[in-house]
Amino acid sequence: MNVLHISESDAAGGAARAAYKLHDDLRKRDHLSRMLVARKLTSDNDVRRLKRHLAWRGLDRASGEVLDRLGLQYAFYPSSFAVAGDPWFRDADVIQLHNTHGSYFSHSALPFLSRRQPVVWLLHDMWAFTGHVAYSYDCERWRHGCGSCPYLGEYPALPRDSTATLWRLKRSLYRRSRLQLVTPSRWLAGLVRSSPLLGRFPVHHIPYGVDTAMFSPGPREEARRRLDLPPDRAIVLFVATDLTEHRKGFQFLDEALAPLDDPLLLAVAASGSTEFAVDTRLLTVDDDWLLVDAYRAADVVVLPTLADNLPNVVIESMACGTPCVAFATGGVPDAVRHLETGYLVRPGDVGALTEGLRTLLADEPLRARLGAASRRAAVEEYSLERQSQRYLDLYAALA
Amino acid sequence: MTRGALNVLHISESDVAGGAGRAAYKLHSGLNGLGHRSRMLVGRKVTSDVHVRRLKRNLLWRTLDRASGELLDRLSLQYVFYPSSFGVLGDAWFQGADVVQLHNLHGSYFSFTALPALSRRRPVVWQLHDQWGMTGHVAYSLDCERWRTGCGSCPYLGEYPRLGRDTTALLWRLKDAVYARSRLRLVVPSRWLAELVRASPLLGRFPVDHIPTGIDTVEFRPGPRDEARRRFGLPLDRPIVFFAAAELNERRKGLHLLAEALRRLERPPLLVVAGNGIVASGFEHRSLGTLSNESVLADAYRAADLFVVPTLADVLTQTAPESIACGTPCVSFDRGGVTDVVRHLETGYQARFGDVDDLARGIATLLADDGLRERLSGRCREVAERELSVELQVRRYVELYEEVAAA
Repeated sequence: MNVLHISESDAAGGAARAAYKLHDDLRKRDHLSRMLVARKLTSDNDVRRLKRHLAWRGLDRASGEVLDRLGLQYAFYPSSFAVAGDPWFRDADVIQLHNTHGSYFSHSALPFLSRRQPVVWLLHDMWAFTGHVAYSYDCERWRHGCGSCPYLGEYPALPRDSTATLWRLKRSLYRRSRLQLVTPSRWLAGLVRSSPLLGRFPVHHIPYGVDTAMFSPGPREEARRRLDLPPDRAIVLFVATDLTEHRKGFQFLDEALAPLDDPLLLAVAASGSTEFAVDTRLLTVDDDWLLVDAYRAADVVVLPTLADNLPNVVIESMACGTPCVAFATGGVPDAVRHLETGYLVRPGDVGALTEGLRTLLADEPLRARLGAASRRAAVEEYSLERQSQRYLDLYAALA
Repeated sequence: MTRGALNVLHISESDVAGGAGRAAYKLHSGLNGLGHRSRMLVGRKVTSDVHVRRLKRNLLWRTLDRASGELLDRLSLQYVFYPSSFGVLGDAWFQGADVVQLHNLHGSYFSFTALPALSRRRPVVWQLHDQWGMTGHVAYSLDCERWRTGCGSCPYLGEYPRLGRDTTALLWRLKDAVYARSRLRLVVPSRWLAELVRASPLLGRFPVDHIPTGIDTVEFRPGPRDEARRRFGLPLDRPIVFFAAAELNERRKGLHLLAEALRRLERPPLLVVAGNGIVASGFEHRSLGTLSNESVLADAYRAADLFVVPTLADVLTQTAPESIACGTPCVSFDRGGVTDVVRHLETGYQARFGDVDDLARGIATLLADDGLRERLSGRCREVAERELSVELQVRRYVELYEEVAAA
């Protein structure tokens, strides 16, 4: 199989990491896999920048500046059409799209591209079927046309309310496209099926995979020693790409942890920094093995995310055998089952979050039971091998 | 002779990317740590260090360079002219420097034609990380000897940094003319490269010093093997050989030879690899992925019984001294810069160059004899502390800088 991925980046952020893992794992299984990205961060020779020449970058820039000003987000980038002329595109059996938002690719190229090669689009969030937001929270306007958007400032932000136009533009583009959709969570699959924009396409549910050989249980004391953490205190772990992203719920942590008996909050992030009232250790990780140590060192992972597809944190912590206390939002309940592989709480209920943390921290046998079940579920359901096999089955049916 | 604080300006492709970039940055921070004033101009800035700045500060320089680069690359006149390299002359960091330290000059960011102008104004020390300075274009000439006599008819046009057409004879003559008008002091990290420099008609005219690249012997130190293995989920009861390279499949790193050697062993050890790329399928191994943190990398060396570095051409890989500092003996071939640190039956085993059977024999011999491995391991650490520390490297550079600054 010869697969070409198109992604915003090969390493920055959850969606990009998920894209790269799939690419890398396909290659390890003797398939040809390549990636075109807007921001190349790895040194991988099978990854190339989407906009190779200054001329494309200049044209894209010009087009983007004008259209952004008009609120016509991502409506046209010339380079997205040029992809069709790239040998990597022409040789591919399947084109695998990842996040297309992020000011690098225009969905207006979808009819053109999907006429030439089979296109599978992996949705990492809701962007494809809303006027503009990646997560609509409590808003339901995407079900019938957007407009009067209550969340203009949400990512990716718009300067004026062009959401109704953008929604109609997506509809007319999708009508002329042939797409296969993949969602990592059942939650997102359900939304896609009820979307007037995307409901017409086949939807496949394929959860993200995690490297279960790397993310694996290991001695807690040794991990704590390596990270220079106290051996005898209760440690609650919070992981986010950007520590201060509201959606990930850092703002609930102080209130949730304050009533507990002397916990240490371990906050792991790639960027962002904030002050917590509770005793906190901030850790920036530049290597996944340090993240593995953070999961092993923690007694419990807290995941107060307000909206999410299937967060990497969930499947990584499960693979390390560390149970999560999480808000039951989005795709989180796919993986975290209450008192089976973790502890679920009604979204926004901070008191219940505290209760969940207290229950788990006080009961070591319970933690061990949930941790062991988590590890089993991760190996069975969320291994890279399982993910690749599911994609390969889908690709084989199309190519 | 001891003088006051030195002011050193480094010019490097990057401040962290790749082995050469990392080595340059370590020297830079080591100098600052000793109270000297060290600054860096780089093609690609990755760290947030305020003493590092982009060489091409504004869009104008970048555009001019780009235009010139695109045109000359098309003519295969690699790195022949970038206006910004001459712009360095007007930079306050250049003007304030006692010494200018050049690192890798290849990488589409600097043009060597600026060397006469730079070296007329300031003492210039150039650290060679590979052969590029003396060849028509390649960083590693492999088995080709044409750099000794003027290049042309290049057998390795596709090798890094690749050329579109064979302009190697012209580039070689151009380098000759440029060096003839320059005053340079060369530094090489290995004896092997020092010999090549002396044999080169281009660079042989300059004085050469051999200063091995130092490593952090505190981060890279011996530690409990089993704990390190548990960290990576590796088996405690099997012999493990470790291989690491930024790009696993780069041929000169020799992973294919190691794989072949292991196939010839009756009871092969578990192969553990770190880096980007793939190991031939159907071959038992564990991949740790790309290790970007030094404390993690140190544990990978500690987890292994042996580190195998079957490199076919490398000035001095950073990995072998790191492994030696962690007390893990190395197996390598008996050629290239790696032999400076991998010493036969002292810090490891030197197999005959390119001889897969001998490589296999070396691995089997060391794995079979725990007593021997232990003895080598102790010796490894001694060698590292005495010869490979970054402090020693920085001290040697300071001595060299004081000498050229006074001259």
